[in-house]
Amino acid sequence: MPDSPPSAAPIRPAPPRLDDALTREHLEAALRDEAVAATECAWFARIAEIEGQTEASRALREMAEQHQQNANTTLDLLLRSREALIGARAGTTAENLAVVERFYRRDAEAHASRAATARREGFSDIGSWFESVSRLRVAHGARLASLREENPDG
Amino acid sequence: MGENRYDADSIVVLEGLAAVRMRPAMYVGSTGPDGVMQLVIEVLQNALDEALAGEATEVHVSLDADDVWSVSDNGRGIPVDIHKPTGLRIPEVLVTELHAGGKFREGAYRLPGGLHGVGLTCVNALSATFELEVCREGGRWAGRWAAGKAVQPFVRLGHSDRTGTTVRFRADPGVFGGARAELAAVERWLRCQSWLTSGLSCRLRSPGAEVSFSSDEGIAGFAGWLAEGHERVHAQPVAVSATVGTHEVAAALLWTRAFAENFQGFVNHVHTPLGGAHADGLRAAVGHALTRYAREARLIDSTEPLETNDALEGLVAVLSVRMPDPHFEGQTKTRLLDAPAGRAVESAVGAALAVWLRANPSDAAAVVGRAIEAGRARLASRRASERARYERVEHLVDKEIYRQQFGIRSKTWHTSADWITNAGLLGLHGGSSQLAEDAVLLDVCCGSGVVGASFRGKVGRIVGLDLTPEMVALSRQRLDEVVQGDVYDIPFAEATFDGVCNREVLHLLPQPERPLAEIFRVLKPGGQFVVGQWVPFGAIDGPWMFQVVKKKQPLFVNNLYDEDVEALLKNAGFVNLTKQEYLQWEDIDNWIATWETPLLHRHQIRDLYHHCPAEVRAVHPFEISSSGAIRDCWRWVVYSAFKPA
Repeated sequence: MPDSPPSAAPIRPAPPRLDDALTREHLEAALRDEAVAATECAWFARIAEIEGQTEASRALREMAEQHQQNANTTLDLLLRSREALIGARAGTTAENLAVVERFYRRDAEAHASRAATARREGFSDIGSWFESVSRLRVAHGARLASLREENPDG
Repeated sequence: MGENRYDADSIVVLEGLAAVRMRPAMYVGSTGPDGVMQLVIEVLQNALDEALAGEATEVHVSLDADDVWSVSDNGRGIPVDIHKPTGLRIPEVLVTELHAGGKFREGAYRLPGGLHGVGLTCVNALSATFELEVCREGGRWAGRWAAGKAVQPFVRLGHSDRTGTTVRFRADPGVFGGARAELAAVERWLRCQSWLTSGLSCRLRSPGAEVSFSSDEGIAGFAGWLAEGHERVHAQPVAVSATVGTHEVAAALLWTRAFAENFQGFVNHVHTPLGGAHADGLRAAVGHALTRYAREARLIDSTEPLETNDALEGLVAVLSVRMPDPHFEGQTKTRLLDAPAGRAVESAVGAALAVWLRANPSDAAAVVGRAIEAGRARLASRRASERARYERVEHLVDKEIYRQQFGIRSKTWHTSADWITNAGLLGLHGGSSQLAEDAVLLDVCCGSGVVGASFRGKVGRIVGLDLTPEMVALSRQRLDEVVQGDVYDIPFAEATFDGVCNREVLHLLPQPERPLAEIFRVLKPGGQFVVGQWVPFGAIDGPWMFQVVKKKQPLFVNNLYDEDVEALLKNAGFVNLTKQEYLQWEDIDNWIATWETPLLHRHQIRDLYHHCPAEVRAVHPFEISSSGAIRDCWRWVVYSAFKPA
């Protein structure tokens, strides 16, 4: 008799985990790039429009739209990762609110620190801008926290 | 799963006018004063379309004491035949059916401006009372509606020798609250249309007043009127009149010595306050034509840039485009979207301007010189800003920048912003005085001296201090003595003054602690310090306001919140702090029309208001009128504090 085939079930490779992968870092970098490019293109489009550079303005505006959509998709892919962008699970609106709230808390501190550096280096206006944004982050975080408290089940 | 059904039963179809009443802002832009204004414009636009079709020569408007608007024309009158599909008379269909009208087919109106069958219907739907009277073919016909529902059928009432249409309506308070259209805006609209439409005479009557407009000067007269009060760079406007494909382009261009560009664009006589393709075309044409001519005439060399923004500075431009089937952003037609219109305008204006420049070399040299001057000022401003940033590494202030800026602004200081001479705000400063009648007061960074002068009669002597020689000269007209000097190093001995006052300076200084320490030093023990400061409406408003003010004023370095000013005063050693708030409305278009605010920044400031985040709007009041003018409510706080005795 010929040897019987092995009885063990075929080995199925485990799906790759985005959390631990270099690709996740690349997605984060790509999201930042797309967001920056979307902002730059939209801003420059408006400047071109004011300057009467109609064709340049249209081209930049259309590119800004593309960048924004690319950013949306990149974020969507990144959300496959458990920890998403800033170490909290996202997906449902309740989870998403928590993610953004957490981002605001951390970013308020980050902006306050950036403000101190800017002032130390002599850039008072940039420091003042960072401080203003830091205060806004605190206000936004408080708004989301109160929303979460009012609707604890999301 | 069965809880949230989504099937045919869940679809609500809003019939006819119910849709308009449910979402009025979708049709007329807002339920505030702008919305009521839009109702008036819709009716006026229908009357105007008769004039544009060559059938009417008069448009009469009146507003009575009960807020009833009446608009009549002497055109053909709306046809009164039976509309076969509905069995109703045509005027009834026009005011009760959305998208019914004579403007969908070519023939009756070639280039209409109304909302294509939505206008009169919306006005009817959103009016507490609406009356339509038509005189045509020897008869007089009329009907009446309330909130879009017929109250009196549209029937023939008798004989008439005249022809024309009259609409009388009162905006529904249930929709618009107590909002009213601005009479001045209606007057401006009629004035514009009388210039844009040759042979049209307009009359506006309101309780106690009547004005009439009729102009044969056309849009050149319009440009001249807009330029009133400003020195002209050349005497007569450049006139443009051309047909490019299906676009009829008419424009008038007049350069002035003003800082701001004043562009008024119209498409089929509809004002487009946010511009769009036609505005872009005109700006591109002006930029290219001036650059080309300046190089040809060797007024600039090939290395010196002449940017479009510089070419537009001080330009008063009126542009009227007539075209079939224009597409606008939004129902209220604030912005034209059609790119071909932009190309047509660029071609027509570019060609006409090139001819004018070559035919009028001395005027052309003056216009190009104006643009070169604007460009050099812009570059100087940028260099100053860069130098200021560099200097601030050591927390130093480049005093020359302050001297230069405020020296230039001193020429028009009192008219450059409303807040400067606002009586209520100044009254809060002087009114805070707890000083003795023989006290000596120092007004720090006194400008024209109005803040110090607000203490007149309350103290014995008022001394001013300012960095800028021009401001020192100006303030000497109001104060007893004025010294030129620096707030970082006040040229007076310790404990010299019983009181010190100051306004709107701390946010221009990288280290506000330093002038406060100086003020503390020169005050006598027990002396009073009164300081007025603009502050944002809290954390939500702060970043948005930072952007507005930074675009306007490159020297703005500290976005001081109310709590920041309090902390600064306390940390400087002041005690017994009290404060009063004051809300002041500022004309933003005037405020940003200054040397230190380049044209690009002025556009960006207007963008900030037009695209203001909703949560900022919820805390920070401002208004954008139907003509695009912006009025902003500023939050001032006047602080009073004392040096310990």
